[in-house]
Amino acid sequence: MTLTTQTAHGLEDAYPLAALQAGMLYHSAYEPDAPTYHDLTTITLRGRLDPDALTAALAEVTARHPVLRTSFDLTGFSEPLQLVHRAAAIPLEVTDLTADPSPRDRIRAWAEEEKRRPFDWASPPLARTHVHLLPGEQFAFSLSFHHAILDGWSVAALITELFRRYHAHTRHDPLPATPPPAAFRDLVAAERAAVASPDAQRFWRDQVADAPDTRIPRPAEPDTPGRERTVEVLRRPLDPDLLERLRRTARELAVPLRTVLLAAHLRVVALLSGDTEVMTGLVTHSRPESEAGADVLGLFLNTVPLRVDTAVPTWAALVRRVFDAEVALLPHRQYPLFEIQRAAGRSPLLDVLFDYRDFHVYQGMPGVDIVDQDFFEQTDLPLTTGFTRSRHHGGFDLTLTYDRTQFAAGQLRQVADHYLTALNQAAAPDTDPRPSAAYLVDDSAAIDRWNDTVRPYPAATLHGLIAEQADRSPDAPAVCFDGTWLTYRQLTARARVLAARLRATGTRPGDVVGVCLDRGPDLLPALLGILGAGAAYLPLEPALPPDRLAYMLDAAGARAALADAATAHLLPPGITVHRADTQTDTDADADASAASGAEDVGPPDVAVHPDSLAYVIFTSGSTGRPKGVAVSHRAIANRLHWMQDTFGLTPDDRVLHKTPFSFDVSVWELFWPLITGARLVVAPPDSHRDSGHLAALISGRRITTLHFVPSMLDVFLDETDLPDGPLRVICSGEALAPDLAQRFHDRLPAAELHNLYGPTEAAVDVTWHPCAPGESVIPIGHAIANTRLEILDPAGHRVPIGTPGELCLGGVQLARGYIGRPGLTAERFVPDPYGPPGSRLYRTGDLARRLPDGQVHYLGRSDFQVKIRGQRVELGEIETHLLAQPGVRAAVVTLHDQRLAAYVVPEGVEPPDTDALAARLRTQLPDHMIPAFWITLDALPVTANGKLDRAALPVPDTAAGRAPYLPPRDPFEARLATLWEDTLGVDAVGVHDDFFALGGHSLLALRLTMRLRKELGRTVPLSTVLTAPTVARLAAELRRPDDNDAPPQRIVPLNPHGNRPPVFLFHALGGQVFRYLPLTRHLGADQPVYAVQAAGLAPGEEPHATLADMVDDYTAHLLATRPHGPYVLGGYCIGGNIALEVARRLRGLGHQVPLVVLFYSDADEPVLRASLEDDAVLLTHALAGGRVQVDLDDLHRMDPEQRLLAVIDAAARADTLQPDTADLNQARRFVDVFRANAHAVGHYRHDPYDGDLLLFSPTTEGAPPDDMGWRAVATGNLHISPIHGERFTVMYEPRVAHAAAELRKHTDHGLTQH
Amino acid sequence: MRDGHYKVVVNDEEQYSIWFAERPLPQGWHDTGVHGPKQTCLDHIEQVWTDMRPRSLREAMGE
Repeated sequence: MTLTTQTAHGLEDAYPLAALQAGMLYHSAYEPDAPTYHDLTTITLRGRLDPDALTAALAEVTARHPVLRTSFDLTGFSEPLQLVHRAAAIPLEVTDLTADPSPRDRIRAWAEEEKRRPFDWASPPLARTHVHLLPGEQFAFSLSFHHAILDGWSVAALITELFRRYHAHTRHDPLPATPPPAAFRDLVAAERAAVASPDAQRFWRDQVADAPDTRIPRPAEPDTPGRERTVEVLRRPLDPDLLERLRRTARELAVPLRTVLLAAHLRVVALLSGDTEVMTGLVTHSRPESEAGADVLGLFLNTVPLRVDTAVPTWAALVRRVFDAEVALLPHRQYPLFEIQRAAGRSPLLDVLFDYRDFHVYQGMPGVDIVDQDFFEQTDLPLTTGFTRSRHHGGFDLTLTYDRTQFAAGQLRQVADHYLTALNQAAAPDTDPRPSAAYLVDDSAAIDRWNDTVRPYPAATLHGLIAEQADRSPDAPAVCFDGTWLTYRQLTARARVLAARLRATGTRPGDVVGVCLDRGPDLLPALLGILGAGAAYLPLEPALPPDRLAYMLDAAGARAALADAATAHLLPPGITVHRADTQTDTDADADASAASGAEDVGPPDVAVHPDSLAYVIFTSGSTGRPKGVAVSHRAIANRLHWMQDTFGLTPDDRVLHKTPFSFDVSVWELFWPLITGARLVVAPPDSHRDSGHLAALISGRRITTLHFVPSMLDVFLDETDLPDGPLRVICSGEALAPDLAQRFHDRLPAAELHNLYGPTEAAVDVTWHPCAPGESVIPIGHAIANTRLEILDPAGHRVPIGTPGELCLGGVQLARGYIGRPGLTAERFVPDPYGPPGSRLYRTGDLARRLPDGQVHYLGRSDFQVKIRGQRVELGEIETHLLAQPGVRAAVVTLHDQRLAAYVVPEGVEPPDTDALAARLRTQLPDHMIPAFWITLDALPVTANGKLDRAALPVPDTAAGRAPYLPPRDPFEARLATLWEDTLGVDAVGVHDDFFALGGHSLLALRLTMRLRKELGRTVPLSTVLTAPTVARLAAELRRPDDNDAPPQRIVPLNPHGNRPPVFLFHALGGQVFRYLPLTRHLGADQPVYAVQAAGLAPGEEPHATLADMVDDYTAHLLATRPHGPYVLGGYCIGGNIALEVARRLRGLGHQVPLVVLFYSDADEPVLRASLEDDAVLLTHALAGGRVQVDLDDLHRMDPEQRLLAVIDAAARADTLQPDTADLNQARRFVDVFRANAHAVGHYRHDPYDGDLLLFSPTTEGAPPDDMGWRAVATGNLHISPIHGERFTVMYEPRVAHAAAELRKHTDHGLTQH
Repeated sequence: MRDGHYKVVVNDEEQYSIWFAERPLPQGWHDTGVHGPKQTCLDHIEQVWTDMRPRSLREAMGE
């Protein structure tokens, strides 16, 4: 039905849709087969049906209520409208089930079908009725309707009115049909007014600014995963006594009962979401407030967000706070949710809904006896908590309406229990609503069980454990560096020499001693020597800025350090520097004393208490200062004992040490094998970043156990030659993705993968999960020995199992604290309310949740700490350093695709010199903390509440700061550029773009070397990428001497694939064709493209002397490549002139050439006339595109070789030297080809041509494009497409995309005359 | 822990920390009597917790 048939006679009114109606219709349209918003209510009545009376009553209500005569037209007008028709009839069907043995089943089956029977939105009414006659003088009346026309109250009012009228008709005493006093259209008008009201706009904008993203945790396994959404209702009647107490509470606090129920709802949502401040949807009604308003039918509903911080000391205070919030939103409740969501800028804004329904329904229905009632309603929210007046018992039911594809019944039963707990608490309003214990009786028992990890390990020191092992196997090989093995005896002897050296110069137990060494043979003896002297070691990576080393030494209170000849100068004055090398004489002494049966060299170690510090490792600090984590022997010894307990190294095992020793993973790498009699293999410095080297090392040294940060494992798995033996891989430092784990199992089927988690503050790792193939979630696992895990809300209370919270750690592995930072220590190491008396918990700042089996699932960070290749970085530390730079007013640092982006607001109007900023940061921060992207802003974006709006920060432009785009100049550079683009994820890499300026970092550089090996079969050391960071330089490094000199093919297949007619593109003056790569890419994978290169580029080859020679040669090659047309030909500059003549030849041979494309080709003057007349001019054009300042008279006086050099020199100084001329031989050849091509084509005059021509011609704004002389040549179709900008830009990004689209369009649809 | 009122607490190993002012203390921790905003409490700890070694270690080392 269309409007035109209706307008004349049928319509009584038309008005826009309420926002909620539009939303519901949209949802129905989106899921046409689902019963969403198709509601069905069935009531069973006692008595015999009087069909005439019911029909008459239906006609009366239809006549009385416009919504029952309303249809919708969403598209026919400038905005969607609802159309009120003068007349409509609600269909009534009757099914006789009086003789049916199971009538209830029949009705249920009918209902399932009915819910899925759609309404025609264009035909009123969007409602149907059905009566099933039942045995025993009963009948079931069903009303099904689209929710867009009726809300719950309206349904109750409609049924009440319908059966009052029905009853009157059965007694032949019909009721008068007065029109209702208000209309639904008033609501639509009120809503429009609200949307236009600045007050309402401001109110809701403030409400949702920085609002919490309240989410109810989903179970790992919902009831019906992945299927079409279906809702289920869980119903719990409220105990009458409880209800009475709640009513009393409401009276005492002078609020409606609804507010007390809402407060309990918010408390439960806070519990489930793990946050004290929560936001819920609140169903509101905007029914007219007049006496008769209750009679009006329509959709008077809205849902609005309600946001409350539930952390208040009493239930009374919470209820009052909720009431205040309700009162505040009352005047604005007609503002549609859709508009609020828009203001919030996120959707869905709400995850849970509160719906209070106290309908005084079915009253005043004399003579109608309702036996039963069933109501079906399906909304699109995942979870709705309802408190609904029950027709059965007159009290209230708690109803949880949930989506079974997202939630599980068992979980919802627990949620219902939580509601009852909260309601019981709320009924005693003086109690504290915050503690979670009352809700978590069962959960707490499970958590305590999972935390029962006691395993008695002997108290020990690190070096003591190694000394014991050295006593057990003194002559066993212990440590290997670069092929040389040290025995346990030699190792401990070296350590004792150093310990003695330190003690003799004043190192005392409890001191901290720095170690500034690269990874190598001296490192382990140095660490053991320091421990033997009773001190703790402080790792000082030689690659760090000296200022940072000095800061760490000072902050740790270290007075001495061990270093070698290469590193001693890095240490600040005031530090006593000792040589770390002990080497051969000690080994010889050790062996000699062993041989003679004497004691080991050196005095015995001092006694060290297990609670003494073993090491101090600095990590990034959010306030700008790194913090030194001080870890005791007892803590780290527990970690090593657990590891040995779990994995059981044997003397045959070999563990690889490759982690930088400033990263605490190195502690187990170094010490674990040596307390067990296994062997330690030390990887060379920097090899940890080279996966090819690692793979070789693992195979060559028969490594059995090693560590990977997941991002490095990801790269390692790309290696072609992976070790195939049994291997134990320990992962930690970053979240381990299921995809990566699966790839591990696929590529290394014989290897084990273990996921471990822990911060430096808890002695390396505190959880463990052994990975198995096929896991969709990789948890961090269970607590290890003598360790406790708690997941707490912001108020320090346990959260339910499954709810996210802050992961807090307890047990013997906790660090002593941050050295010299008691305040910071007290803030992060807090009393453990769930642990042994007096114990502490370390608050990690990590978000996590418990899975049902007790394993912990890591979810991310609660703050601005990020991980960059496994290393902890506090963004605040970088920001603090930036702010300390002159000229910086404000600064923010974010992580973008594993790369740091710095946003800087300068003091004045001058943009800051970001290169200088980066350079200064490099003197203060480690490399991995230097931003890759720099963005200058006038001001930082803020939210409505004035907080920094991180989401509004512009995404870093990965293309910013590039050199002017120069495309690849030969196939080799083209391949390299493609590899760069893939590796960096950027478009159009020019040959002079710097890998690191494009956001590359060491891991990406490693990926690039692997791709080079795979794609080119060339082993490229990582260092080559670092020293040759542009495509041009890398190509030069890698180019074999004969790469340039191999004879080039005449025809280069730029893309040989696809079924479309092939495109052949002809060379321009320089003879090369790689300028056509961007066009090829944009023409698409299905468009074959071939390029024709000039003769003469290869040594010994002569360039063509005339255009006729070219046409002969190129036509032959073209036909050899693709013997059959049709062909599309084209070219840039003289390439277009050549293409036209080849086209003429091909057509003469009987082939089809539907199109010739001329990119800036000139018919009158194919080559600049001056170039043809003066060879010096030609040189400047060939070598510098004409953009060079030279004195032509000077050039004329020179001999040709001098002249060439002079122009190259001038062009290089002007930075305009053509990229094809990097070396002199190449330059000579290039000029020869250029000169020959210029003369071959330059004097040519085309005969008339009657085929189709497409010309790309330059133009300035507003002026028509020049025909470049082609109108005189073209006797067929000529279409001119303007080029804006410099002429060659038509071949390059971004304009080349347009050129490609034009070319494709004209090939497909033929040419239109222009 | 959000901002609010805190108290400075200490355990038998003489390790200092902070705790919510209005909440009962976990077992084994003692109120030092210093209460106030978080930063005030942390500043106080910065002053008084001068030797971060646990008491048992200090005693074992003969001090």
